[in-house]
Amino acid sequence: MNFEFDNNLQTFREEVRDFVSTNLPPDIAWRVQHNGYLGLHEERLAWAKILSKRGWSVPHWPVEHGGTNWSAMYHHVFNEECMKAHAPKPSVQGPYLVAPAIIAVGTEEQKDLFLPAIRGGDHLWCQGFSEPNAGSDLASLRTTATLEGDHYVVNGQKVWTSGAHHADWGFFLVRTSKEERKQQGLTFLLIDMRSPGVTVRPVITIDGEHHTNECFLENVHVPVDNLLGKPGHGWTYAKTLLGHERAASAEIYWSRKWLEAIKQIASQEMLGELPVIANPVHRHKLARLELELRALEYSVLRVLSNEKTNVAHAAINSSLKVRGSELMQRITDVGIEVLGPRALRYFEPGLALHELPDADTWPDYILGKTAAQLALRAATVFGGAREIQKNIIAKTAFGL
Amino acid sequence: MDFNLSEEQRLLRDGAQRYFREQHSFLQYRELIREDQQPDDKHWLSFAELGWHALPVQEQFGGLGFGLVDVAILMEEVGRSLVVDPYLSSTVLCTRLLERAGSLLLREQVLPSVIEGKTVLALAFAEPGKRYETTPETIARHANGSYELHGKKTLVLGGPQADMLLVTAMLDGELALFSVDASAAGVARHDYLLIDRSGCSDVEFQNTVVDKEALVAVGSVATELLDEALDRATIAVSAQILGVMEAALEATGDHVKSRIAFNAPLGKLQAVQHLLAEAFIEVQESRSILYRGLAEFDASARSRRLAASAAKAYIGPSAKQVCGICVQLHGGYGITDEYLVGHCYRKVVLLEKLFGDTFHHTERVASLAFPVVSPS
Repeated sequence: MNFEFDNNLQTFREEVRDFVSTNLPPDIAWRVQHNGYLGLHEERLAWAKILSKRGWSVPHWPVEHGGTNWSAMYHHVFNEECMKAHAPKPSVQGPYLVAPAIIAVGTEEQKDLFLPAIRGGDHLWCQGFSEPNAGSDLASLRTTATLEGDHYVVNGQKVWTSGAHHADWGFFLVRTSKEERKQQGLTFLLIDMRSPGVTVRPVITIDGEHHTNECFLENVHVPVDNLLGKPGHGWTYAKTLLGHERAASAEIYWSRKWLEAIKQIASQEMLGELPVIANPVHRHKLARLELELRALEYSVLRVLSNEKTNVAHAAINSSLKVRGSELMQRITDVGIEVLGPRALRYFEPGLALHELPDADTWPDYILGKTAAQLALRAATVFGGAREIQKNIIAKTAFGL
Repeated sequence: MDFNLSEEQRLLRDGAQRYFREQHSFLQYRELIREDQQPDDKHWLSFAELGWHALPVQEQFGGLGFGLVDVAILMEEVGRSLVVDPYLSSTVLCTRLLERAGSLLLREQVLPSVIEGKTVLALAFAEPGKRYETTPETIARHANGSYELHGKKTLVLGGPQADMLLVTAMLDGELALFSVDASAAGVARHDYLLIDRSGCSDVEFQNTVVDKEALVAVGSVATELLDEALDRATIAVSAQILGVMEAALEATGDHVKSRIAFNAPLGKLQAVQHLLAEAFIEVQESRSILYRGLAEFDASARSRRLAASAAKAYIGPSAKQVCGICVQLHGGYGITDEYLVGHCYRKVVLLEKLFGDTFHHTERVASLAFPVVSPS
């Protein structure tokens, strides 16, 4: 066991810090800092374009497609510094979900067609997996795709297609045949979101924002060239894709940023004669969050540095997701606790600086705090529901 | 950043697991702690043979000069096997104090004997009604070129077995550390057991005379010495707790596969599966914060304090939750003397309170990790 940090890491950290402070537009940083959790699709894309000029937009890809070949600790430092400076979190669907699948099983034409646009921050992607009757039980999905000559005809409905209202492309899991096991008849299609027959309808969430959608597909023609991999193999690709970013679901960078902000707020907000952070009850709640996050940060580092373990990877991945999502909920909850009743004002998404109310009564650090707490009630649902994750742990770590 | 054990560390761990499996199984341990059993130093001497008393001691005194990571590896196994011998208090805590301070003569006399398993050390610093405060009321007075100690100590871990006591006292208004022969005149020891049946003592110093050599450290040297050693002990006990948790969880995983209720193994019930999953997550996170404690221990005094307190503040309650789940899943058997998990639960109830409880360390984390606020 060797815990010595690489000396070059500090130099790299400074390099990233310098790049971000020079190149991150201040208005984007302000919007990110005062945002809740989701949204900001245009900002994400803008930042991806800036990063791509430096060759940093898809650092985790293979080098031949534009990756950086960084070690785990370099990725970690890069993510930390970007998050601290309020850079937008990268969009997940394109660079982190569909691109690795295209790299793994896509044709050369598909790689040439799709990867540069993802890398360059030109295309946004959405994910068409879940359906009204198929969430955790994804394999029950019913959207069909029938092969007619040189194209598939797709009919069905997807839900929780986040970002579909801005997306250029979507990756969809559809049923192409009825087999003995429902997973076997599923196929992975790449669909141009401007195709005739694709209708995106907003689903507004309780934070008042439009992050996600229903997506209706009515006789949508999808060229056979947009089939990813082999027909009937979609389930395998989907499972691999969803398990890809082992440590990302822990969301440690977002949680660390949020917790640091909450600590600052708790030092400024008063409870009687003392700042909230000096009150023993709040102090210990915050300390407890600090402990959980400190532990989780190292859990992520253990995965990033490929710690050898007898414990099933699936169990560790699921642990990171359960703990990470619950911790986000606890952090955002304490986040509004330290604000007191001022947390109750509704702020419309996309408020500009000059539109803010009087700063003495409504300090701008209030913005986004309640929206995040409301939106993240779903953190233990999306990305693999908590109860399913616990089933996975029971099965893979205990053989049950 | 490499979390994998080196070859040497693997040998240490495997060797410890083998020894404990063969010589300190659950049944052997229960025999050991029976009310009518006489204390026996068989394991203590075996530890010497295995080089474990030498492990953390500097090579100049005959030790192996291993680091805190290696101590943690061994302590995890000490926890897993429910060892009651005072390895942590004597070999980890007290030898650390002695090897860094005190006269060369004292160290050259005592440490080799400790390494051979012939001298047991204990630290007398806690005092009645003072919880985890380290500033004593016990005083040391100058007396004709010697010192006279006067005061009361409590919760001296390993007191009954100790040959030598390391004692904190105020000397001329400053913290001081003395080495005292446990059988010296004026040392009144009252022995008792803690809830895990480990030995403990209250010690009263009634004008106990010790010579000049006995002063190990004084003033800021003593304060730093004690702080550092207690932080190490805090990490070590956190590693021990981790081992106990793992033992309990492993036994419980086996139990729910074999225990039949309503025509099926308990493990088929989703409620049971989810409790095990939650326990699993706690063990993972506990290990992570222990590793973080080890990684950040040496950077600075502040980093060390935060590293130790964060580990303990997290792992203590985590273990109580995990072992609580394990007892729950054993049904009635979980609380009996015959089953391992009840012993694990009791052990972590005890260990959570050693070297600072959760409240103490959580407060310390807050003071170290939060923005400093000046009074308005």
